[in-house]
Order: sequence, then C-alpha cells, then structure tokens
Amino acid sequence: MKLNLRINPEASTGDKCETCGKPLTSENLYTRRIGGQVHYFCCSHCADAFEKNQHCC
Amino acid sequence: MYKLAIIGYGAAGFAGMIKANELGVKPVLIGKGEVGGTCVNVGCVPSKRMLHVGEIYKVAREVTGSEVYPEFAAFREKDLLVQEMRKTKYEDLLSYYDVELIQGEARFVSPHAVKVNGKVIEAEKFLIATGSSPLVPDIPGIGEAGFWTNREALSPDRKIDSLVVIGGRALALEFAQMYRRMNVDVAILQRSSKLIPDWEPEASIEARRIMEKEGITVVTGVRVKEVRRGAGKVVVTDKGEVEADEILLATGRKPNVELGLDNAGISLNERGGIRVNQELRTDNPNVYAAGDVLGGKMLEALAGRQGSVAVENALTGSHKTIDENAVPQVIFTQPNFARVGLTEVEARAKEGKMESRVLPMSSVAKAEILDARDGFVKMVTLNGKVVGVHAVGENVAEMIGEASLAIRLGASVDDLVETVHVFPTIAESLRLVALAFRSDVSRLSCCV
Ligand SMILES: Cc1cc2nc3c(=O)[nH]c(=O)nc-3n(C[C@H](O)[C@H](O)[C@H](O)COP(=O)(O)OP(=O)(O)OC[C@H]3O[C@@H](n4cnc5c(N)ncnc54)[C@H](O)[C@@H]3O)c2cc1C
Ligand SMILES: [Zn+2]
Repeated sequence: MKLNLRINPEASTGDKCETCGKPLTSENLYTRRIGGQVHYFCCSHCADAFEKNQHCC
Repeated sequence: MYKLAIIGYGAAGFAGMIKANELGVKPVLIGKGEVGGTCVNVGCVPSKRMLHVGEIYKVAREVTGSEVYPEFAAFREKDLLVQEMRKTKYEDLLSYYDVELIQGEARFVSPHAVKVNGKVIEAEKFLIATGSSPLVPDIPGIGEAGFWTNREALSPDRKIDSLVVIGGRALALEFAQMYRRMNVDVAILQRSSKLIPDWEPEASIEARRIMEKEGITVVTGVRVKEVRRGAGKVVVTDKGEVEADEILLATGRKPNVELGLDNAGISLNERGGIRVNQELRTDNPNVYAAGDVLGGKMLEALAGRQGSVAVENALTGSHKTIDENAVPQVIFTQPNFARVGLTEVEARAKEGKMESRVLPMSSVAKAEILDARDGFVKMVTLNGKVVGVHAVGENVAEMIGEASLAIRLGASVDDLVETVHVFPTIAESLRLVALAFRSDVSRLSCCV
C-alpha cells in the first residue's frame, strides 16, 4: 500500500524560527540556550524578542 | 581456572581476545548467536552496503533519466558480503588465535564464575562484552500488530511499498533513506521537536531538509499513542494517523545486562548499562566491561578500543583510559553526518574563550565539482584550540578522523591552516573552516 498520511499537515512542516516563523537553514540558523533549552531562530533579534517575551510573563 | 573469560564475541569481545593473546594469555571466549555480534551480521556492514546500493541507483536515475530502483533481492545479495566478512574478520580468527570458544549463554553464579550450558566456568578476570538490543517502547498494540527492528529491516521477509520509521536519530535516518531509495514511501515520526536533537542545531536542520528533499515525510514533536491493524499497520499519534505496510522501530538500543550481575556484585549506571570507572572496571575489581553494554556511545570502533583497553588493564594492572572527547561519530546517509568533540553549547559551558565558524559546503571546490553542495562544516574552538568539528556533506565520514586527531593532539586553528591539504578534496573543508577564523573564505581564490 501507499503511505496513508492522515496527519495534521502543520505537524510536518520544516524547522522554523521560533519567533517569526521564517524557514531555517544551516546558513541562517541562530540558536540560543534559554531556560536550559536550545531554541532555534533566524537571527539574534528574534532570539532577543523570544527571550524578552519569556521574561515579561 | 581460566586467566580470562570474555563474554560476548562481537567487536569488543574479539578485540579483547586479540589483546589477551598479545599479552600471552589464552582466554575462553563465550558467545551466543552468530559469531561477530551486531556489526558484521545485523549492523554496520549490511546497513552500509544497502545504503551504498541506494547511492548507485540514485546515480543511475540521474544519468539515465529513468526511474530505476534496486530490487529487494539486493537485501539477499548483501548476505554474501556479510558471510564473507564474518568469515575473514571473525570466524577464521578463532583458529588463528589461541582461544577456547564456548557457544552458549553465560550467567554469573558468583563473583568469579559464570554458568554456560550447565557448566560452571571460573576465571581470574572477566570481560563483559554482551552488546545491546533494540529498545522496544511500550506502545499499546505494537506487539499484536508486529514491527521491524534493524534485524528485519536488513533482511525483509517481503517487499513493502511503505514504511513508518519511529525515531529520529542515526539509525532512523539511515533506514529511512535506505528504504526511500528502494522506492518505498517513508515517514519518520520523531518524538522530540528536532531530528538528531543531540547533534549541532545546524546538523538537525540539515537532517530534516535532506530527508524531505529525498521525499521522506518528517513529523516531529509527535507522540505515538497506539498501533493497530487496518489495511496495513496504523500508527495513531497525537497529531493524527499514518498507515503503512510496515513499522520500523528505531527508538534506540538497550544494553544486554541480563546475566546475573547481582551474583557478581556488579551494578548498573543511570543509562541502564554496566557501571564502570574510567579504566572500564566494574564494581567487581576482577570484572571489566566494554562496548554497547556500557550504555554510552554505541559505536563499533569504540567498542573495539574499549575491549582492548579493558583486557590490558585487567591482565597487566595498567590504568589506561580512552579519550571519549576524540571519538568520532557518523550517520552514513548521503550526504554523511559526522561529528567529533564538543558542540558549541558544550564548549561555551567550559572555561575559556569559545569561538565557532560554519562554512557552507558550497564554498568547497570539491563539493562544487561533485555537484554535492548540501551541508556545512562547523569548527568549535576553546582558546584557539580545536575542540569540536561537525560536518554534513559528501563523504565527510572520511575526513572526521583527521578532526579527531586534531582534537586528540590539541591542535590549534593555525595548525590546520598551516597543514597543506589536497586540492580538490572534501577534507580540505577542514582547513577552510579553520581559515574562516582568520578571513572571509568566500573572498579567497581556490588554494590560499
Ligand atoms: C543497524 C545498525 C547499524 C550500525 N552502524 C554502525 C556504524 O555504521 N558504525 C558504527 O561505529 N557503529 C554502528 N552500529 C553500532 C555497532 O554495531 C555496535 O556499537 C557494535 O557492534 C557493538 O559491539 P559490541 O561488541 O559491544 O556488541 P555486539 O557486537 O552486539 O556483541 C555482543 C555479543 O555478545 C553476545 N551475548 C549477549 N549476551 C550474552 C550472554 N549472556 N552470553 C553469551 N553471549 C552473549 C551476543 O550474542 C553478541 O554476539 C550499528 C548498529 C546497528 C544496530
Ligand atoms: Zn525569526
């Protein structure tokens, strides 16, 4: 049988910046350890924004 | 009473046997199943052959423009290689070396004796090298529906058209590509949010991109809830269902420790493997352990080195250790994933100035020549010394040994820059990424 995928397509989209949703490649990747976990961004500004968001609430 | 008893005749056991002979000791070697253990029979050798077959056919499709794929008969053809290598690399050695072979399952009955086939065997020293087995997670319905592990996936009982791979680490990626290149529809279901999550983030990202480029469906951050039979086998997750002809469990491996360790006063570590000190000695001062059974990095060459070091320490009282930081690791997909040493995050946690550079493979002349621009090489340094190298690219497995040596010998970035490399090779990327600490590599002519 062919593969029968009955899965939410959102679940199988590629790796994205955790702030702005831009698709990530090994060339635009920026990571930062926040709260003991490595988070994936497209740039330092997006990482700053993520970190600020974490702190305010 | 024997001087040395070795339990397990895979990589670690054989290396231990050879070291014992070098030291003038005839060991008793106890093993069960096929001689040679995992690597040659159901691990590295057959899997790398099947990946190679997939690579040849990929070239054939590109050259001929026709949809040619390997037949499943290729799985049987690889058995010839397995038989040949098992014979020359393992079986023949049993008559070449001075060793007594006993086939059967060993269990400790006291701190200095094991029982095999009803017979008690006493020895002054022991090496436990019993390897590991596939870890089968507790998924409701999986037993009833049936599943594959590496063993079945390397010798399939039938042709399949679709496969769900559960897991997202080295073996999952290798088997996913192997089957995709046999023209099988493949989906990877990975629990964490990234593939190969313990590798550098750049490698994780590339892993997903490369798998998807092959036409493999990748679903991450997914929890498998149940497996049941439908028209095929249905994997029910918290994000929906996937149905395929077969399910491959690539969810890790567990150390083989069911051998009466309590009777010998040997305890386990937090990974469920045998607890050893740096010298590979267990809690029982006469028992050493090596290889996958430690529950650490599960690698053929590391198992061999550990077997050798453990036996030397056991028989001579020496205190040898292994520099785990310089142990390279590879995922043999095309392109390869290779790593050695610290990741950037690990290096940052150490004292000193951490720096890193990432060079896209597209900046490497050989990658352009081969038309294989996917990937990168990343170098991590601490106070100017190389402490980590991580690469994705065509044949990077072949160059990671140089990076290991650099780390082991404490080489600096300049040492690599000042070492003339062959042009054009992928290995040159190591020098180029070192050069990237000093200048903008994209602005340099071919050989600088
Ligand atoms: C599909 C696959 C692909 C792999 N590819 C690679 C690769 O490309 N590169 C790489 O470096 N590594 C690879 N590995 C890992 C590698 O195969 C293992 O790390 C290595 O084989 C471990 O060697 P070992 O001696 O510790 O154990 P094994 O080779 O498993 O040997 C253990 C032996 O002990 C025997 N035994 C167990 N219990 C008992 C008992 N109670 N009494 C007597 N005998 C017993 C077993 O039957 C077996 O013969 C791969 C593994 C798999 C599964
Ligand atoms: Zn972003």
